[in-house]
Amino acid sequence: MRPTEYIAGDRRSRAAHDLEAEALRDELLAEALEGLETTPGDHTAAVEALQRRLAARTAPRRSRWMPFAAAAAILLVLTARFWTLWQPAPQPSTPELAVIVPADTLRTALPSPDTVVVAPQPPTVRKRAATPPPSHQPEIAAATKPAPDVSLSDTRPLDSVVVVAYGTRKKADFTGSVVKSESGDTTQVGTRDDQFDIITGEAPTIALAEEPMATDSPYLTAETMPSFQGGDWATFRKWVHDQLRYPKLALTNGIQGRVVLSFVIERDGRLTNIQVLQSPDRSLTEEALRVVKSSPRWSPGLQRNTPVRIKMTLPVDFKTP
Amino acid sequence: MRILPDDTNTPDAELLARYTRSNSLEDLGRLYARYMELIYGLSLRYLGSRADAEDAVMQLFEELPRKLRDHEVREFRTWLHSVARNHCLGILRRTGRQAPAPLPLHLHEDQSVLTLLLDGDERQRQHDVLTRCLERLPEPQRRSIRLFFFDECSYAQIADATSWQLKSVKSYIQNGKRNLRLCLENHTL
Repeated sequence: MRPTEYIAGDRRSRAAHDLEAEALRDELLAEALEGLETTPGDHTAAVEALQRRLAARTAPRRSRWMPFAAAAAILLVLTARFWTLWQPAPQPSTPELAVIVPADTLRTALPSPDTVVVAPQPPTVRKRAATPPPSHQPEIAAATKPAPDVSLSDTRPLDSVVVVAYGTRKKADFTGSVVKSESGDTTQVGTRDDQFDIITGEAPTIALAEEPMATDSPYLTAETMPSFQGGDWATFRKWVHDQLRYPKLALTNGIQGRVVLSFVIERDGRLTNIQVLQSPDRSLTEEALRVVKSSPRWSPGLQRNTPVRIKMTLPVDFKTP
Repeated sequence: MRILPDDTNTPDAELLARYTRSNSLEDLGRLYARYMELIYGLSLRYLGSRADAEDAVMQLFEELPRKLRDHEVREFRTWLHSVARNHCLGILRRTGRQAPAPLPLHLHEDQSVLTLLLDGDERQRQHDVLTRCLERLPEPQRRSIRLFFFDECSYAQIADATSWQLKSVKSYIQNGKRNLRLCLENHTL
């Protein structure tokens, strides 16, 4: 029997006796039991957390020399690219998609995104597509590898895509939006979260299959605000907090900070249009998205007793212990 | 979440030797992981707060490589215990705090009586001297000792059976054990 099990258990067993007897002869065990006994709290979780910290501390580390210049170049590529794609008039009847494109650096110091995470909304009803026109490809000599094309599989344009590019050694990740692009060849179709490697020199095309969504713009407030599990916004924040698991790598590297997400609580209580507004790190973004996407349904907000869509902004704080 | 795998059958000495050869933190971590729970509990006892204890556990790990270079470690467990205790005492000293009183264990003195009570067979337990010494104990001590060592009840079970407080049961056993030792020292088994 482990000391923490003993402390947490009811101590009416042969195993409990054996541990107590052992403690009579073993001063380390006796002192440990005394410490665990006299300090309130969930020691099992604390010890597990310590075990994880130790494992993370002793794990072979990735090299940390990733050049800042490369990260800056990625930023430049993506910024230049998305700038050209930005268009002011979103089509009112098309869905918003959240696409997360982490841009890692290659070992050759040639900056290039190597993974793409796509986070579309659940079931497929119809597909839309668009590809950024090749002429928009930014021409930056140092950074020759193209950024991933984020597109839809039909000629209808996206009204917006949120793209987050991650460089390994960047302080902050880049968040941008792509609005409207044209059709092209599709190499990936995703209806769920997806993550895949990007082959050097290729610009993969990601198609996001979508279900039609409400077209009216969401309210920011309503007579009756949405409720979560019988509670309010605070209940949801607490729920999110309870579901969060600190990403191991972020913990190891002491990465902390605030991820800000926004989403719409639909009339049927689902969360849609999840967007990343701000994030200190890819792993933290992914964890925050994972939790929010796993949210049970809400009771929708009501305006004159009619359910309405409500847009909310959620800060998620990650703080290393 | 990854936790260092532990092959519990590998003795400490072998893991330690592996670390000495490889100098890899992963090997040392595997050994330290075994003791984390105990070191955490010990740190709680000295430092009193969970946050301080958690820090102490991780800090101590960082200091182990240097300490292991400077000392030849025969028995890792006892060595780690004293290193950990000194680490905590150092923290208390630096922050001007009092160390808790030592536990009333009397390990060295009680060694033989514990061996007799815990490892002795039926014949040894029936021995006249032990029986006589047990009879001279005050009633609560005698009952607690019998229930704990002979019937292998846990403290909580003894408290249930006697309706004494758990704390009292513990001190009856401590005191009974000491009185038995004193009695046995005056008679030869």
